[in-house]
Amino acid sequence: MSRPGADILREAKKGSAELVILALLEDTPRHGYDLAARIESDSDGALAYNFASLYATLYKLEERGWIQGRWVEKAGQRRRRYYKLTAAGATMLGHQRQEWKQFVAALGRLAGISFA
Amino acid sequence: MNDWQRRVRRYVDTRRLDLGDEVIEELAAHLEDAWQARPVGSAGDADAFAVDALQRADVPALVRRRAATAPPPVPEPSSSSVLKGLASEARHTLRLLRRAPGFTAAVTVVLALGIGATTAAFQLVYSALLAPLPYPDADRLVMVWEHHIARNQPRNVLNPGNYFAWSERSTSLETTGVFNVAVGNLSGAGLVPEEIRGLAVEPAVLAMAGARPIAGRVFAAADGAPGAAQTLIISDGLWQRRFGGSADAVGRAVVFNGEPATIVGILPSTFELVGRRADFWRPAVIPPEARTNFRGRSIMALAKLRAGVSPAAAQQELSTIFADLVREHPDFNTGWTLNVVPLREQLTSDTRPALWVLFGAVVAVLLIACANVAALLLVRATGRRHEMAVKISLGARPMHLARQLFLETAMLVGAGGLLGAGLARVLTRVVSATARDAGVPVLGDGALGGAALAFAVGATALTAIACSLGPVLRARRVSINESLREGGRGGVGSRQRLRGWLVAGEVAAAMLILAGAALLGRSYLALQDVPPGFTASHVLTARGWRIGSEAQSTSVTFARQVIDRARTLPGVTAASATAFLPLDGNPGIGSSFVLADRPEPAPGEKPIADYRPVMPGYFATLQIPVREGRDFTDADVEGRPRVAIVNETFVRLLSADVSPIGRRLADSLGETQEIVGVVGDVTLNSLGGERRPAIYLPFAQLPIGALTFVVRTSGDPAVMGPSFAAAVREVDPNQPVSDIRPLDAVVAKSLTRPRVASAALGLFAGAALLLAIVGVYGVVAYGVSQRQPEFGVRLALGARRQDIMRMVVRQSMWLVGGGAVAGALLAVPATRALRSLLYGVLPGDPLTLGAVALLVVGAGALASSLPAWRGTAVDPMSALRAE
Repeated sequence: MSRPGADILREAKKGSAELVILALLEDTPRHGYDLAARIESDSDGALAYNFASLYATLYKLEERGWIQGRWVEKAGQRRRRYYKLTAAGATMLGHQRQEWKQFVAALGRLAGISFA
Repeated sequence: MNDWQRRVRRYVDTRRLDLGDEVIEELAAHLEDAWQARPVGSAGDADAFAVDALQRADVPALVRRRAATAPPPVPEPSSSSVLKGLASEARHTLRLLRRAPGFTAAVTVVLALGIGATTAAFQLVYSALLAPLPYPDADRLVMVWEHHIARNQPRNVLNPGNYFAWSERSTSLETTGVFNVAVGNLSGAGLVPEEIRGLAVEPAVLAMAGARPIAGRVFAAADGAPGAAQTLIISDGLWQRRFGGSADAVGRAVVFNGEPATIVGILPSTFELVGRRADFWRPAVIPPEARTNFRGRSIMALAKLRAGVSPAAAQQELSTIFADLVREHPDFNTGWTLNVVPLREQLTSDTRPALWVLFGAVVAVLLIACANVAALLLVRATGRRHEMAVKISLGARPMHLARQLFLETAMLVGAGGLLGAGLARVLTRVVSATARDAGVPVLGDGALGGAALAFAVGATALTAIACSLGPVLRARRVSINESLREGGRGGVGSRQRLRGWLVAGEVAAAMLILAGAALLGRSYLALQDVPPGFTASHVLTARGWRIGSEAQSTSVTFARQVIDRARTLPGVTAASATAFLPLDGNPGIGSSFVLADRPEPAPGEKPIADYRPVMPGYFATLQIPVREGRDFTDADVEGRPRVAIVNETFVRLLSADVSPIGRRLADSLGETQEIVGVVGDVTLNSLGGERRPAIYLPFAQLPIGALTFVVRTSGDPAVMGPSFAAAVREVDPNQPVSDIRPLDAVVAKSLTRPRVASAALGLFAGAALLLAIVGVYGVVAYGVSQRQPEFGVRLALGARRQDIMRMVVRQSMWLVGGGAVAGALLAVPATRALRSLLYGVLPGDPLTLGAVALLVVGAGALASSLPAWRGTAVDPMSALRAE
């Protein structure tokens, strides 16, 4: 089923989920579906998490205290659970960004990948 | 439980997966959203969709999580993490701002202009009025003047005899020194002759002023002794310009006023004595007979109070001493006293009102800018109420939100402040130069000082607080339910009212500054229209002041020869000369006189006239009408009967409009003249000044003063300059010719101060009006956007677009009109501060205020109609539907 190299991508995508979610929550709180839709649209379909693993990641981040979820009810709509980035999460986001940058740079040097 | 939650529950129950209720609810919501997001026209069954999605998802990986009743533990912030938190908040804020580039740019620019202008104005005010004077013990330095009480002349130059008497008798003065304005002809040592301006000073004066030479020395007592060799101190500027900054300038021999002189020292160009810069300083030589000279007043004196003595105490003592002098010399001193003026007051009293007015105007503009920015921020905060409400419902504390809003405002204002400080640096240099031209005693070289920078920082901080107050206070009171339910739409009502008040305030402030600017503008125009009494066009002027005793004795011959030569130049229709050119800033000679056939007035009540020595043909050259009698001729020379020509004011005031021809005058030096002519009035000292009696004498009979040639040509006088200078050189190659310029330019320069004042205030008035209009536009545009549904209803009920527009404009005109009225009412007392700068118009002039109010109201109407027109282009149906 997989193309050569697809395994690598699958693992890389799994590892990037946290960074992606934290980054998307940086500007404004979002609920789960909003996150999923943004991830798919902003990455032009390159990244797409099945929704259960998305929520698993969300709950994991919440247990670590990097995001915080609250139920919000709007008039005329069912209530939704919005997640927002905490201060600790913001810090962690900074770290993760740094690490990913270094990782990608190292990949570039070792595997001859360059970016425009 | 809704359908979707049922579907999810059914799925997990059949697989015995233990998911909590809330997880199920969350997944159900997700599935419902996904279902509704399918492309239009997709077929499908919701149940199957749910099962399919749940099967493809890794549901068993979802562990049952703890019911989140308590907020997750937030890590204890250590100091470094607090800082990091702040830094990340700052970065976050930066990102937010970058996403609204228009808003950010607008706010930053408005603030930069406001803070920059205010800082520059503060620098000017500070350096002119507040900065410590650059002299040691500056608060003990005073100028002493003679004060003619009846004529209201509190700062008259001193008489030498009086000076020696009171300076020696006084115990409250530690040091005194005499100085005077001086002109010199510098030549020799290979230099082209040049007329330079400077001061004659006693050594004590330089010492009191703390003069520190950058090379050589200052004067010693020996330099001023009668008969001593002539010594000179030159300025740094002159040193660079004429001596190339060479190290051997000190000690160099030059020719000064026809006599050999030695340069002994160089002072910095920025050294100022009582607000006067100079190219040179020479010792003031006081001859012994000066002690008994009780005729004529001509010198100035600087004094230092003894430690612990107040200016008031010194004033009292000197007044008492002078009362004795009045008794000792009643003819000369009756009606006079002494006036002690602290140096700071001496330098600033003229310009203080104008500077504070300017500063007030600039601060008002900054406040307007703040109001605009605050209103903009309020609108932005309104638009983010939904976001705020969500954040609060998700656990953010209102204080945290407030801090975030403040941070945002602070960063905007900080950026504006930085830009503004940079702008201020540029502005201060320009403003200082302009101010100096206009006669404002600006200390220093116009660089932005520490005080001004501190002011900029303070102004920025206050602005940040002022601008963020509105949004921050609102953030703390956000009602969550209300905000969320409205979906983020801002309320009309109180916030709109606040904006309305802000804008009305802006309009009032703009009105105030405009009123001031309009009054100054009218004054300037009125001054321009004042007929000077002569025809300034097509006349070239050039000064060929003969300085030095050798030179002076040949003044008359020199003048005659130059005039004869000038008359032969092509295009010249007339030429002559005068000792003091009208309106060129030199106050000339004023002296008391008596009419010989009248009883001598009581001492101190003699009339004063401006004395002006002129060459024959002067009146014709300047086209000053000769009303009666004759002009001077070449026969009116030394040794022949002394004659005089008077002006119309003289006739009106002193001759009861009876022809004065044939009557005799006696001046304060005892010379008598016969009046042979009457000429039209001329504004001698300033266009707005009072007309005084003037007495013209033949230059040949009184060859003193700054001899200035006037040459009327049929063409452009400016191009004649070189040929005239050449003509002078043919007569005397050692005579410097200076200030070669058309008479038009002289007249225009005399109006520099009112021109600069009205231009400066006009600039600020324009900025204030612009900001106020922007404010009005913003309020109306915003209000209209909020009232779209209402307009839709009205349109649907049959109202026309024009009716709605008229309603909107009318409502906004209440704001504008109210602001204009408030501003006009404030302007009546406020413009009194401009009284000393006005000419031909009174403060609070109703015509001017009315015109300005019309302008403001008209601008406000325009600013309201545009958004009203745009905003009422509503489709009733869509407006109603949106409701």
